[in-house]
Amino acid sequence: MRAVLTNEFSPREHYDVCVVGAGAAGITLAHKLRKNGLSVFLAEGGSDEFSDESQALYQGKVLGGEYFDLDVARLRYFGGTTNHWGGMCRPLEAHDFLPKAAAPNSGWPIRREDLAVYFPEAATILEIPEPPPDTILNDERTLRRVHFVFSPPVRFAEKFGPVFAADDGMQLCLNCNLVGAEFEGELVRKLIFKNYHGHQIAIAAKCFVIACGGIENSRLLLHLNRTFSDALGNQRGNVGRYWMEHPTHTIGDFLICGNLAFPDDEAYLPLSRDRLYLAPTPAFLDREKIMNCRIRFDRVGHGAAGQMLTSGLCSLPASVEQNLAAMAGGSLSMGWVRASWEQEPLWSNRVALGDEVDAFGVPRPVLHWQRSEQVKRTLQKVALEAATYFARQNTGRVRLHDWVLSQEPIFSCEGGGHCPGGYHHMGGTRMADSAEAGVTDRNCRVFGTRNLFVAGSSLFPSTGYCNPTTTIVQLALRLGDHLTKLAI
Amino acid sequence: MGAMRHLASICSSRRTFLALVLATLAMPFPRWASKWLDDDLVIVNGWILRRSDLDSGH
Repeated sequence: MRAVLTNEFSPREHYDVCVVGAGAAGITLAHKLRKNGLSVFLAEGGSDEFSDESQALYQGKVLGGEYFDLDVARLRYFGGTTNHWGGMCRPLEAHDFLPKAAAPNSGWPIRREDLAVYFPEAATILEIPEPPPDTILNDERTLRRVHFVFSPPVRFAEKFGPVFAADDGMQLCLNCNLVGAEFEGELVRKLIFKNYHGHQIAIAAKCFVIACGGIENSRLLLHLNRTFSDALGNQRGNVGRYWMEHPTHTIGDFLICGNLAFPDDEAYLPLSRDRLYLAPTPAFLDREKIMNCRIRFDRVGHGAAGQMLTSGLCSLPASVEQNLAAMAGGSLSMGWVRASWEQEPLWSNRVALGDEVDAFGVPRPVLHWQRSEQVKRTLQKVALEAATYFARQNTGRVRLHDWVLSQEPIFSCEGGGHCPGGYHHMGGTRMADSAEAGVTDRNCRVFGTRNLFVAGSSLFPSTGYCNPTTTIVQLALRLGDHLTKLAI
Repeated sequence: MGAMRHLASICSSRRTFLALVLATLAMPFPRWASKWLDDDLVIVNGWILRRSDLDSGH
């Protein structure tokens, strides 16, 4: 059933699970719980469509490095950010779950296998195939060719809205904004919601899940903790901490023989003609003590290529271009080199509460985000490895921008493209084996509570370079099975 | 960036390696403008080149 929170709306006395937030995580979880036979109340703060009133609740401040305004980096209505995502998918790699020498606070309490069992179900939801296997590219075994797969992209509200509306065991409630809780003896008894006209309801359930996104999950938990003396996972001050993004920059240009396809690429054409993704091997990451990273080669058409000829490409000795063209039978590809990579989890990068409050009296978020020396070192090592690969193979040449090669801790968005991040908000309510190290346990239960859970990318203790949606969906499906065991 | 634009204006009219060398000598390039990574690979104006790339330009 679908409802809008009004004075006339009357919820059930009790639900099995109350899920707060109807984006990728919340919708996936609610759908899974219904498949498992549980009754669900799904609260969405926004409406069916974008509204300024709802979106304004996402405003906040950013302190530290250059970053997007917080109210443009995400969408606050039914479907959440899946209403405008690009559909790039790839599950996290096995190496991403392990502690890294480069980052003392990295590593998950679960392993890739724990989520891999949910990939087929996630793939059905996202409408993606399994990514092709990686290929080691060089004898030194430092570089891999990796693949992403692409969702149409699935708009979750369109896909699941009609299913929910026709389901008596599901109560989707729009304009339903979390403002408070009733909590005693490690149990959340009720969550309190308000609409935009001040009408309030309290929802009772066996279990409650906050699934509001990579900034809001921290913000709402911090807000609730002010009332409950940090009992909700914040006994060690961990809520909001270890927040992460994927630094994303255009880092150079390239000239490569032929198109970007490899000889065994027939199955993936035509996409692989225009895009190539390289990543370091785990052995290279360990040896260099760096984080994970992917370098993307974007082939461009003649118009943009012309611009490059008059800026960067002309500084390449003409004989090099001639030699490459001769080898490739006159066919050369040129384009931009872009990078998106992992930053190490740092205590200082965090979501905090500001002094200003929103229309519901909830403090607005303040995002503290800095990129460390490790972030720069990771980019430089991997970018140089990728660039030297083409030179050693004599199949192309790569130019890296001055700021990439500089030893100074500087980053630049002058190359355009998606910059300085991927709109990927991760961490803040990290999963861990103890309350000393995180906010939730390996089953997403908030430490200090028995029935409050978190879903979404805020759970990530470290991020790899892969776009987070596939992992978000896998985690939500896993949580769905766990809650089913608890609630039945 | 000024240096790069100047270089672009030079080499768009005479795309020869000689022009590149002259420009390199004349312009205040960053210190990594020419840096050998090993016996074979060198960074010139951000391009990762091979030793033979430089030889073949003469």
